[in-house]
Amino acid sequence: MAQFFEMPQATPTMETGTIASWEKQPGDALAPGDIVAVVETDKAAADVEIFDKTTLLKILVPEGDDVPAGFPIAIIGNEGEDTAELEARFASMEPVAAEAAPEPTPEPVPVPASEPEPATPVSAGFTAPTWEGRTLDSAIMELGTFSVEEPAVRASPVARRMAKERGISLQSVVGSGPHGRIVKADVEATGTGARRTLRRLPDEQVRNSKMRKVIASRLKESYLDAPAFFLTANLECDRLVDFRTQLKEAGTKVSYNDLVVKAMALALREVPECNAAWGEDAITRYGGVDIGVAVALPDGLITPVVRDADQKDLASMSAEIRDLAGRAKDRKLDAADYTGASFTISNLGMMDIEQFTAILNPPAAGILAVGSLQQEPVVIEGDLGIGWRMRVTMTCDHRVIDGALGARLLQAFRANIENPLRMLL
Amino acid sequence: MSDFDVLVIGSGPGGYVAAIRAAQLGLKSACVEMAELGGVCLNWGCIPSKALLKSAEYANLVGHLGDYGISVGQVEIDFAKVIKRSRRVAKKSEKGVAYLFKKYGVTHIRGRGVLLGGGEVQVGDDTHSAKHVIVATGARARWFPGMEPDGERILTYREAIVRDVLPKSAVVLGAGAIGLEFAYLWHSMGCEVTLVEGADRVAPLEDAEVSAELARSFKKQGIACKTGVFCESVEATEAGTKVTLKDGSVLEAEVTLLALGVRANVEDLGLEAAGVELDRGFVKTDASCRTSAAGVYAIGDVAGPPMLAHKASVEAHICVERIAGHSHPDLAPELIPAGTFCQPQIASVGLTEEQCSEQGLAYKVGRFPFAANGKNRGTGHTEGFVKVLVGGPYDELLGAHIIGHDAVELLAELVMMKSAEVDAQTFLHAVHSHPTSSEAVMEAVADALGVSVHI
Repeated sequence: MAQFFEMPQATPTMETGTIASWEKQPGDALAPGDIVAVVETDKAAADVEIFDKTTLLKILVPEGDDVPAGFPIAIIGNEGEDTAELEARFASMEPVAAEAAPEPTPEPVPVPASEPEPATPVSAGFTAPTWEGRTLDSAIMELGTFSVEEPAVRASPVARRMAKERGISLQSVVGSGPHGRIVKADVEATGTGARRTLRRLPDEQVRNSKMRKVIASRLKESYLDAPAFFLTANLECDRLVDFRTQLKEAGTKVSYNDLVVKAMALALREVPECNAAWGEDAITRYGGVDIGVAVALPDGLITPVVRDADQKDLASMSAEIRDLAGRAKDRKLDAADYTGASFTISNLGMMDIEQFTAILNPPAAGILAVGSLQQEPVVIEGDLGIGWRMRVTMTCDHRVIDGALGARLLQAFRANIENPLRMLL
Repeated sequence: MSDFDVLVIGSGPGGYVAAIRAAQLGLKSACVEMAELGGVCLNWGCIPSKALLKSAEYANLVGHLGDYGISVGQVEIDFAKVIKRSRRVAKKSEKGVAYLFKKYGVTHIRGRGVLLGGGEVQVGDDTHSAKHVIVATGARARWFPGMEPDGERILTYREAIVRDVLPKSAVVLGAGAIGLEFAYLWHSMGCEVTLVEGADRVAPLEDAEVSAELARSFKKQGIACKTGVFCESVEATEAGTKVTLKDGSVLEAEVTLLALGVRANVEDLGLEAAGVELDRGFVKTDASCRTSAAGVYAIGDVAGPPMLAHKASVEAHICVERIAGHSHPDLAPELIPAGTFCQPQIASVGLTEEQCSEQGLAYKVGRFPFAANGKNRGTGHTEGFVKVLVGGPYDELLGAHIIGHDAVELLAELVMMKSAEVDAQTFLHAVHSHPTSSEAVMEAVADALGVSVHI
């Protein structure tokens, strides 16, 4: 019987998806495992797979159109079936956004390509992304909306050859030609310190990537919705510096950020009221400590999550963060890797930011903004000395965390940072 | 409150382009013109001369039609009709500018514009104000002591282009573009022409090989060329004109054309009152075409050489785009092509071989004669060649020189090559249609790299 083939729910946060391309044409017979279309969501470009033997009868949503999850995108059924009735129904449907997307669930979508589900009559879904043997262009998260490659640069052929030969990235060259086109003289001037006249460039419209739109809508929602306040603490880090040096000498290399994540994970165990999220009827107090770690990308950011950070030993947690950050930069994260943080840490210390405030990463009720670890004049027992200090600012959702509660979390956090051996217990 | 954002004085290929571009960019724009819209280019130069030169080319061709298997009877040239056609062509161009002014909402103010300073321009009894005033008054023929055009026998291009009686004999002083074109025109129509050039060769600004090829061709056609000798004086006589050269020799002819270059129209414009400084007879400007007076700009011939219509148009774009707050790359003199429309035509961009050696550049020469090009052999246009100079680590185009039937049109892709910084290898990746003269261009570039197949 002819039926609708619907836009699948790819990620827990997905509201709509864009048909990047149709891989099958009307009349094509479909076998389990066939890729029917490629769909772009807010986080990923993914293949839409069919799990049944059927025939693609009609395409309802053309390439480039954006429709909500669950909305019909094609009609499938037996070859030669009449689709008029379904087409008429489709014509009367309005592509409104689906009901509010459910909160992240522990079991997001990915269905292995090798395991079709014959039980349901017609099923479709996103294949678990497999990256081997596929080109960057078709495989990487977000592709189609932006590229991991350097953005296109206007440059003359001679400028390109010269830049390549001299090992100069065209990204670092300011073009003086029309629309900023890079010409030979621009490459010649790069790195020579020669004074150059920078010209005013015309305004440019940069189309928002899916990621940019998600950042905009989520953070705006969070900023306008949550009554947030900020708690700043100046932490004494001399022992933390020693601790890390000793670990290093013992052969365990961890970053300061790893130590901050660990210290906060343990603190959240002590003050579980802060490991929580607001809900109208009830506050969710998370059972696990899952720390989101903000990772900057060339054109946005993503927060992969270290699950059960409180339970893991430093070395393995550090390796896991490295792996997540690496995959984030390569756009190889699965939806499950970056959803469901119970608390978030954003660190700009390595970029010499002394102190800043972060916007809550919903639904979690807290986020910690970490500044740089720096030596500064300090008063020790009435004398002026030099000490390692780090400033952190926690943003608290006041619906969940009151001032004293947040302060308690920071006290616990401070205790871990200032007595790092606690992190080995 | 000013009447206009931009007011342009002069409507030649600098002025009218500036006025229209300003209007397109949303500026309130006006153009003051005391004579015909379009200036010298459209009315007394580039355009009508192309009409005349086509007649000359046909007149020449008629003598060779037998080679193509076509016999014609008695050939008659009605020179008055030749001139008349060129006037119709010019008129049409002038109307074209009027149409564009109307289309883009440029106010056309008739009369002579005089700067009063402070953004005010007087035209007749009216005074107009503008935030930006662009001087685009062009240039006119120049001459030297001992010669004075009378418009009857001693002519400049301005009289020569409308003279509808073909002189029996003519001396043309100056073998630049204007001199070469009139020498070719009159000679083709049956006039006995002597070309006189002070430099040691015709087309002295072009590559020496091109000059030599042109001299050979003119000699073959029967145009007498005297080079390396300057003119002492030109007098009108009973019979016509008498030209005395510095070497003491005397030439007599019905008319003498003074084609010795042009001078800027900077007089009686109120430039001094407006605080606009001159430099060697031209208005002094910076890279954005700004003069020494705030709010006053100058473009085209009045702002200095090269005295070419397309240079004026490019400056119009630079000037107006920047006034409107947009960016525009600076004028690059080495990217301004030149063309002369006698037959064979000559066209060039960039450096000559002499300039390459003078500057101590390492360069490679590529040449390809049209006689080796199939299309040209078929059409019978086997005269001339393409010569390119490439150099530097990336084999960039330093200069290109073409002499031949369609030289000026053929140059365009080499201008693009140089302007877009396309190296020779990349250029050769562009496939050229067969059979075309453009293959000769491709082969010349290939020859410079030593990879030409057809030579």
